[in-house]
Amino acid sequence: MLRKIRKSDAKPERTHYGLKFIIPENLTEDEILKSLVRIPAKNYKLPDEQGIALDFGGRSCSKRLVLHILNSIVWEKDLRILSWLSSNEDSMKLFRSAGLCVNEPAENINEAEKPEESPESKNESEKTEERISALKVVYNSMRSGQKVETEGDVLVLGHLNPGAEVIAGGSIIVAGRLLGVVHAGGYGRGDVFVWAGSFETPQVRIGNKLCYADSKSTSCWRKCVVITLEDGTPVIRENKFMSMEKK
Amino acid sequence: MSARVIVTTSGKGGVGKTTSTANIAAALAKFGKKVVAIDADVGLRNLDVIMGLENRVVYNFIDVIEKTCKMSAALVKDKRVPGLYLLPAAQTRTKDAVNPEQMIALCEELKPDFDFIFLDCPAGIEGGFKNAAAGADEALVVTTPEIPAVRDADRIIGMLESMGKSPIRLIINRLRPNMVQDGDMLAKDDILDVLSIELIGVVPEDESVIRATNNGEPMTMTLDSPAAHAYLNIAERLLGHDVPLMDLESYAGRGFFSKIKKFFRGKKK
Repeated sequence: MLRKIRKSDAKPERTHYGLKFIIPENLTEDEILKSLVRIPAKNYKLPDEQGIALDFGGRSCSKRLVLHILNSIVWEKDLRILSWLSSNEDSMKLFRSAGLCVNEPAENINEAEKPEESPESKNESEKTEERISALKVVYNSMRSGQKVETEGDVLVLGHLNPGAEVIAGGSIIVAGRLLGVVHAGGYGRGDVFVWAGSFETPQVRIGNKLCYADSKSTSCWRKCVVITLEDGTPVIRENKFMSMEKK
Repeated sequence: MSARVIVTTSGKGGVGKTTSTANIAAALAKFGKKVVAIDADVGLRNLDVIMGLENRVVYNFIDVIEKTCKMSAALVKDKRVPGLYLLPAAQTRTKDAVNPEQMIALCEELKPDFDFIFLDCPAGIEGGFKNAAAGADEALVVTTPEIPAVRDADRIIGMLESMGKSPIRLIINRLRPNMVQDGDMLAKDDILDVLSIELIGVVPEDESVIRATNNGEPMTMTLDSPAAHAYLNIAERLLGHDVPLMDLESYAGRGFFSKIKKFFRGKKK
């Protein structure tokens, strides 16, 4: 199997909070700086309440890179960086130690800047939009040692390999093989689910419950499943629709 | 001449990084390439023993970095194969004695004089790995068909990807086809399914590896074993040649000819 990596610039993505720059992991640090400097100035002109999130993916960022981004781009161009995102533990530690915000920008926006509205005034579609906006998407497989932690939902468009970990306040979808650790409802929510393309993990955490599994204890092993909490008990069901599709 | 710099790594210890480095380096030298194998495992050097050059080590690469000696003085030339060199590690120092910038500078100094530079990486994901990987452009990840080794390889691949190394290729070492067939060992496809990188070779479990290691003679110098052929094939693939994977079934005694042999042996009894 060949994985061809193409070098490309940091890609700006429109989001509800402004812009998100996804920085390709295959770029060198110098290429990242050049790539960020090259982005046209008009992209930085955002309304007052909006800002930018920098997503470094699984890259291990150095102090030098962070310092150069702050010096040459953030302070030089007077940008409002809402968040420094990464799935790499070392990078997250570095950002935290530098006092940088590492949470999803959905939670970052200053309450004072939000238009005032009572909870009752929110209709269902607005609530749905808010939930979707808190979705964290991982665009490839997560390898051993990689970790994603967010208060929203998580969608992994690949495998979750053994040793990888996802902790979500909401639900978790793993499109490929679920071999690593998932914790849906990591902050106590029970109305969440875990969906996996192929269920192969020995342990699932959902809400405040922990459950173990193996090929002998469940008929759903290596099948497409959805796991929910029902009356406080984790329930695993084969997603028959997807299984039929596979056949 | 500008060398390709390749780090041999695995995460887990004891999977065959150093053996792979020595054998692939010797095979490439046999193909007429000028190759240097750098032992980046400071404090726990072994590459000199496996290459059979421990008696000739005088200086090491830390001496070169600290300018105690010139590069030419530290390089140990293998007299059995033209074009094969070893740059040993210091045994009396620790991994803190070198930093990534120094490793990059060391590789840059060697690049004009060689076709291939191999960096034999220590086990683990700490400073030693980061130093060794810093100087490399490409990576060979070695794993055995065991779940802990595959998990550690996966961790290392993630780190190499985030460091921008490309291509990252996989060597599956010490595979026992008979155990795979019996369902007692991970199969090649199971490993590739998890690791999702290019496979460059599968090396079968082979007693001659132990003999060669103890004798200090890379197997690819003599080519009298399945593992030697596997390493030679890996070297050819590194050179861009299209070499099919070995038929390991015949080595496992499960191939067609092995079955015929077994049948006739049985008749004799």
